[in-house]
Amino acid sequence: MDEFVCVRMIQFNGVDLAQFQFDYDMSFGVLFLNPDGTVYGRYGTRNDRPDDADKEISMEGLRAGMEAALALHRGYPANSESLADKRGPAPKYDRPELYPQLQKYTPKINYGNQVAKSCIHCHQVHNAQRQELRDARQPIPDEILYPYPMPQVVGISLDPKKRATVRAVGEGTAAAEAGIQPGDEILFADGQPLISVADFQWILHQTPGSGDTIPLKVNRSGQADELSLVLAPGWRKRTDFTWRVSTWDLRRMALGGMVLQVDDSGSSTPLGLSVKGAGKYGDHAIARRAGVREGDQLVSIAELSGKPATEAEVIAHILDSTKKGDAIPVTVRRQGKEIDLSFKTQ
Amino acid sequence: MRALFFSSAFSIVLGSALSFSAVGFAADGKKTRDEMVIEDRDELQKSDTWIYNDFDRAKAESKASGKPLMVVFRCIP
Repeated sequence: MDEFVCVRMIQFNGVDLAQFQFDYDMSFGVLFLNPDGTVYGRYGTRNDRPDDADKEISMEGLRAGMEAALALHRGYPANSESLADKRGPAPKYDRPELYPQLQKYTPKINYGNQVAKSCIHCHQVHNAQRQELRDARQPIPDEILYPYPMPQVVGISLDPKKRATVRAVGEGTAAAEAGIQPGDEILFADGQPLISVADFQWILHQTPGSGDTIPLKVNRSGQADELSLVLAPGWRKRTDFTWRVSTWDLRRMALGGMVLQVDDSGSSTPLGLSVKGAGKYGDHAIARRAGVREGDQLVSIAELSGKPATEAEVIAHILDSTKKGDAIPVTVRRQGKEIDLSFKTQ
Repeated sequence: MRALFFSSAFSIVLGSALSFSAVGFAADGKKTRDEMVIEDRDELQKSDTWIYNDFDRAKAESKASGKPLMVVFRCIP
């Protein structure tokens, strides 16, 4: 710790969005930086399983990331070329409070009164990006709907106790096709040195949803090897984003505030989903005001029916197929009776 | 001592973010979120290691000392 200047940030008000690009749905995220703005790496990952969301991070993994960041710092600026793309392209807005949806906030939080209410949370940037696109009646690109994909999406499970060492490879996945093997230490991806799982997510985050090839340099039993990870068009859509805090706002936009769950009532429906919850206030209550109730089985929504779907797939389908203000048809089954409803997306 | 501090700092920034452990006493609803934020600020401002919520100051110290920055974003749950 004493080899770093350590700073704890508890707000997103006023931060430089060009400098601080990381997974904004994290409640814990670390960046290792040179004071000139160069990014050495990121740390902080969670998975999509609520019961073990912290299994992707560890004391050992953080320590390994810190040691790797120090090594990169010692090698700087000779290694500056390999670090250049660890900063992403400049965002549309310099600071969070410049987004139209966040303009009620000030660059600093108010410690004198209503501290929490004056604080911009990191995930609100995701919300603001999406709302701005919906307000302009534009589609939400995969890169914004599916941010910072987990390595598992391409078939890689990384060891949370190490920097970027492969723990397992999924059969039939892009990683298997690339020849990646358990035990491989990924040293570089797309020319960038990796210090953590989050660094690999950064590489995936920068890879378009339309597909691309990511060159990898791995250490396999002491021997360097070069591999190519080929991602097919639509690869991001395998991501389940519903664990993310910002999904709450996506549910408002697409589902009128409904929370969907796998229907385990024993009375199956084509979609295999039922309504776990329906919001009660403001735009989160749109589905409720349309007549939806907790426990309703979802028969069809926005013309999606006929095969099982996940909540993420339903949200993505609605956002892909509608513009803000479009009405969508919903059929629910309640006590054996099908009911046709409709509400407007946001 | 350093290992102990590392462990302690990690548990503060990580443990509380993920398991609410550091504010477990507050999970009973006895403290408001505002109170927790202010209490957290007061605790961190006493730290010799952590700079609280001031990136510009941290950057200046990093330039002066030659040490890299470790910037931790952590939301008070």
